[in-house]
Amino acid sequence: MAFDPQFLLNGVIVGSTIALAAIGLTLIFGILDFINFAHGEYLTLGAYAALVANVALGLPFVVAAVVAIPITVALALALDRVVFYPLRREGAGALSLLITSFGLSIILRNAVEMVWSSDPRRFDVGGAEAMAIAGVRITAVQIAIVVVSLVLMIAIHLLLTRTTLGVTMRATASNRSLALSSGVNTERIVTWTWVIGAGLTAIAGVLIGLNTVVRPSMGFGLLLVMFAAVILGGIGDPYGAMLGGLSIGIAQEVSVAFISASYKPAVAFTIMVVLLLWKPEGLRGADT
Amino acid sequence: MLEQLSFMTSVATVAGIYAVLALGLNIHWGETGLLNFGHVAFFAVGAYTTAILTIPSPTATQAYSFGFGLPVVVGIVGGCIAAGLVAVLLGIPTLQLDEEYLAIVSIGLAEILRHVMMNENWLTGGVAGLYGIDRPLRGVIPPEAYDFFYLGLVVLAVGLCYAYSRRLKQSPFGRVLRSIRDDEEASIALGKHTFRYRMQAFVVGGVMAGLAGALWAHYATALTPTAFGANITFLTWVGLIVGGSGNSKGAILGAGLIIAFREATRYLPDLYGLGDIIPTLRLILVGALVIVTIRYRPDGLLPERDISYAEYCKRVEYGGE
Amino acid sequence: MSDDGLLEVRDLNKYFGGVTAVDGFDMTVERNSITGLIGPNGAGKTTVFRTISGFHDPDGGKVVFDGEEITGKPVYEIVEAGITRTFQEARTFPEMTVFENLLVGKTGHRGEKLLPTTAGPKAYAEDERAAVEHADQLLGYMELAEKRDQRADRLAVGERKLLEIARALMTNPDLILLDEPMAGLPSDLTTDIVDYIERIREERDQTFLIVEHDMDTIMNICDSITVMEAGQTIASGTPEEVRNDERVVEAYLGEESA
Ligand SMILES: Nc1ncnc2c1ncn2[C@@H]1O[C@H](COP(=O)(O)OP(=O)(O)O)[C@@H](O)[C@H]1O
Ligand SMILES: [Mg+2]
Repeated sequence: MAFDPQFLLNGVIVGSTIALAAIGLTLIFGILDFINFAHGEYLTLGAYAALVANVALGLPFVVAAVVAIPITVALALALDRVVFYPLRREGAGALSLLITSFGLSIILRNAVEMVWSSDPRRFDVGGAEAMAIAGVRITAVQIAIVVVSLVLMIAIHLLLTRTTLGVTMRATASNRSLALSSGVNTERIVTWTWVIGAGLTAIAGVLIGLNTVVRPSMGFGLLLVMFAAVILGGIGDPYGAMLGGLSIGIAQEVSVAFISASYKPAVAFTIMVVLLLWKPEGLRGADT
Repeated sequence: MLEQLSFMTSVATVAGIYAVLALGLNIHWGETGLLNFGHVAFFAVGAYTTAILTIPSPTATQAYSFGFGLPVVVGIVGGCIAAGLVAVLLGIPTLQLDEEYLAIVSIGLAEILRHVMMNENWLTGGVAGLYGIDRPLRGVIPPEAYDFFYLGLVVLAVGLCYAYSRRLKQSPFGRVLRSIRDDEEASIALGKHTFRYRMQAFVVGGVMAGLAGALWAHYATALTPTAFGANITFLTWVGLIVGGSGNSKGAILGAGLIIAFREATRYLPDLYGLGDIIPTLRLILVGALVIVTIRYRPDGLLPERDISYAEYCKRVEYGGE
Repeated sequence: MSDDGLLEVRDLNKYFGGVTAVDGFDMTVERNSITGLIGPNGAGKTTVFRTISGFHDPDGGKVVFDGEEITGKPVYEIVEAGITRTFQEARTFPEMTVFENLLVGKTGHRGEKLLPTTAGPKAYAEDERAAVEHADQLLGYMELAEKRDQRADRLAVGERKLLEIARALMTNPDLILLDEPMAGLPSDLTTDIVDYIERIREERDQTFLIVEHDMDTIMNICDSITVMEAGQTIASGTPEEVRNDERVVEAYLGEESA
């Protein structure tokens, strides 16, 4: 059958939002040396922060989206202080941190559901009329999603290559043994990692909510996809996460042409497992 | 009075099933250090396998296409075997890598299985699920005593899993598992084929979870995908961590406490009119419990017990110095 | 092969991405000797150890042990062949007791298989008794008896290093590879460890290959020394010969005194 470019386009839209969230996840994994299972909930929180500003307070959508960033970042930093920092200080292992984040994920997800119920919600924004460009349907909102994602990825690239902070972050993230042992002022880097990671993830949440709906389980549902993107790109590698996110998004959407749409997550999962079997040494960093 | 007794019986049965789940997870995490975040996958596979093996063949109106009408015993054994096979398949790509990979892949598998349960109507009956699952010795045990009988079966299963866990714990095999948990590379350096051990431990724990699933299926008599969410994994983890990972008694105690807490809070809505928020509030509290336990009492209520030199000497009838 | 040492390493290579860690390295370890492997930091000593013991696959060259090629074999086969290594950073099993740490070292134990375990303690009683006896003997030997019921994470660094050596002995190796066994220890403990190594060699017919930074100790204890720099062998011979070798003085001893 002829390939429908519409699937590819959908893949780029979904993939670019996943990529944003995956950058945050991979940086946190690389620098704090643990997998944050609550990462999906930061995405959800970002979406709800914008939703409240937009729908409840009546702010214009763009303003609401921007306001969501500092709110999510502040929450992430507060949670780090209260939940993760004490463990870090006591030198608790990565597995204690991981299990703790698992607990945190449940708390946040259910707190969101308690406040806003599990009903799906939508942003109050126009631009939903599809136009046809070169044979594919796309809305103004979707164009905006892709443009914002690309701009942010370029911004992250500049940050990681042009600033001392970014260079240090990249070095720390790519070398797990260096993570917390070297002489650099690690707590400062940790803070900036949360700021950047949670900020990007909040935007990803807003964009995903814009493209679909906002609901309490949205972040948790994307966790698997984000993990797959991180593993595909190599842990701690922000560029890998971008590429991984885009590839997984595209693979998922294109798969709809062949298999039931309800198996989209299975596509990400399969890619991840095949990769683990085929190239595990690449994923563990260097051969140890 | 009778009503209360029957309520207690049902709570105890569910607690027992969770105890079996927790004992399985204890072999994974407590003994071997395997981060299994998809425990519900084994539970679900055990439950659905025994259901499919034992229900009668479908009539034209039913969504599913398989039902073998086999005896319950065959179903339960089949459920355990299927869960063990899932462990092997899940272990192959993950158990040679760092612990975190198993966490990621297992949570993913559990999620995918849920989609399979919802969408593959021919196998699982889809969202409507499978129902009319047989109960063992239904015709033989008088109906008014049946719940006690089933509780007895569950207690027997807990006892068997406990006895086996203990046997493992005290064996040189269990010692190697703990060494892998503590420092895999050092264990490799002593010539242990650690992948093989991890796989065996993973299968043993998975089979226990499969058994728990099978017991659940014949207790509930109907299965729907909504009953197999990530919360089952989560509650089992909480039970194990609070009870004391690395200690089988702790696993049972923790599972009992968590289920008691859940059932006790079921009745709060009527008391205070908090109906809507209770399910979420309960999970929030349980999540907080995990964080607090990890921080302030990482060894749980019943910490792991070391086997002393004297015990070793006594066991092998060795005089020592 | 011309010489017939217990261990022969020939033209060994190991790369990590672009980094060449071991670059055509050669060495021979004679039976029943204490042989030293020295070289500046980053010379590739630990990588050589990891490659000999099966933790790394070499990118070239071969390792022959007791007449049998073991290049690239998995660790468990190499341990079975008779080589056991320790770690530079003294790795014990922190949440297990000292005595259990030792018991884990027993190799070929029937009770470490799942089937006999399932059958119950009787199925492996004999092996377990042998393990307990062996471990008990080593406890006495290494003067760790007082600490036998303590968890390993409670031990001081020196005790952990002793425990690690004792645990390696539990595998009944012909050759033990010790990676910096004295690093970070006070001098009295260093002397203790030297005594143990010499005694074990005498009484148990054991061969040692030791990486160590402490030059005095190494010159003192070793029958033969191989010096490496940047992944290559630059000298080998008796301590006397090595001490007077120009390249060694230049490459290593000079730096050491700086
Ligand atoms: N796992 C690894 N990945 C990448 N490079 C490594 C790895 N292990 C060692 N190296 C590099 O190989 C070289 C030799 O290291 P090593 O064998 O540890 O030296 P030594 O023990 O003599 O100090 C060093 O340059 C080190 O950075
Ligand atoms: Mg070294």
